[in-house]
Amino acid sequence: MPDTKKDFWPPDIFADDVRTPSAILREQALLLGSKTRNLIMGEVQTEGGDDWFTIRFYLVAPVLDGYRYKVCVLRHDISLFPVYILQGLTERLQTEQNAGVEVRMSPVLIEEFYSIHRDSPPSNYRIESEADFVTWVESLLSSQEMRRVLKHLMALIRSNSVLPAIAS
Amino acid sequence: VAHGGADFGADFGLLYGYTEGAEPRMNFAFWNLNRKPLIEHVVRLAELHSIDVLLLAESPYGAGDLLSALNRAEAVFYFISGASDKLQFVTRIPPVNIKLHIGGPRFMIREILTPGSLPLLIVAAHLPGKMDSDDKSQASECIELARDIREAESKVGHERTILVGDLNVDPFSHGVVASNGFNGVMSRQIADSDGRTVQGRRFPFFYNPMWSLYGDHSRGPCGSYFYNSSNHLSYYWHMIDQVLVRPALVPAFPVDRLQILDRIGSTELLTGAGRPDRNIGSDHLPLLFTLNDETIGVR
Repeated sequence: MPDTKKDFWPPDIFADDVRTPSAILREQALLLGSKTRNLIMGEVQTEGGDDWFTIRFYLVAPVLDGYRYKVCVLRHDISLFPVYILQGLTERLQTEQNAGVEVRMSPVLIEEFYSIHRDSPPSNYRIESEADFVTWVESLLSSQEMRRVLKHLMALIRSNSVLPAIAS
Repeated sequence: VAHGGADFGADFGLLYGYTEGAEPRMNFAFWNLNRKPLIEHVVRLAELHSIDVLLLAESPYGAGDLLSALNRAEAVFYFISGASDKLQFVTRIPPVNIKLHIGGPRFMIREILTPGSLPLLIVAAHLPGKMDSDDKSQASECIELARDIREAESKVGHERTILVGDLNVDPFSHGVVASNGFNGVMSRQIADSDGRTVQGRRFPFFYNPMWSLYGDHSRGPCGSYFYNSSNHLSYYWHMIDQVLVRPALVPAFPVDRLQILDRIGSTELLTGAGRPDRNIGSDHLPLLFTLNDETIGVR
């Protein structure tokens, strides 16, 4: 008897033509490791949950006993965009810009924030497209705040050095 | 004793930036630097022998110095932070694939979990020397570490284990040979049996290939460390820097690639009298070995 089963699934699901927010951050993570001789590295964690993906982006300094600095926490659904900014340097950037009060959200607050703003998150926490996300990542990673953090990390690493030049 | 490590089961897509392209085998090096400023020798050693896992004891360098020197040309090495301040662990394997199981001031037990490969347990140790301990205390340290290793193996569910380091005792010493110590035997055939049962307790063997490197007819120097005691009893050469492997890894362990190095490139590490040259290198010689089973590939 002939096999009459038909495959309705799309044929091109393995096509590598979609760039996720995580992938964009990982590119930057790789570049940071190369730039600092792996003294400071970027780490991207992506965690899937019901309906949502949560991305955490850290700076990690293994040579400082594995010190970690949380750069940002993001969330998106299966559409990939918009991306919602839940935590991180963004608040500091906005604080710098608006001279407002800095708020760094705890995990509980993140959930609360998201439940409140699920249908209509504030626009300044929402990034609509891949192009806008790349622009936002660029502003985040090249910000004065990021520069300050990286310089402090390098100074801490250098302070343990016995060699004349380190990662110059 | 500290327990730690990332929970790899909880997340997916966890990634450090790392470079691609490595052979399906792992090259290891261990060297006790005796606090000598040997960074250029270390870098050369890593380059010449394509080292994937580099373990140092008594390093005078901070982790940043070490990593910065090794990654001078390209950022291919990662520093693996751990509980032990007596050992430094640098590797080409991305840290995301390495989990700390247990660590203490003088040892660390880490599991390497690379996609497509069977997991591997690496135990690095720098145990107390004769200056700090008597023979019985040294044996006790071996017994305690052996117990930690068995516990770690029980926890991870396999015995694909390598023990490497400056054990500060010879392969024939009580702590290395005793069944409740490392249970290290000189014969692959003996190691290949199901451990040794003493008083109803089973102790898994380690195969100790260092026996094959003793004396004039071995490849390279007669041992890894030279000490001429003024007492009646003196062995002159000692094999206190050792690697031992569980039977599960013996097929992946080519004994002919196990070496005690007497030179790094063109730099002789021995004096004209054939002893470690403390002016050029350390009082210990570097130890090199390879795991070449493709199931243990770096990537």
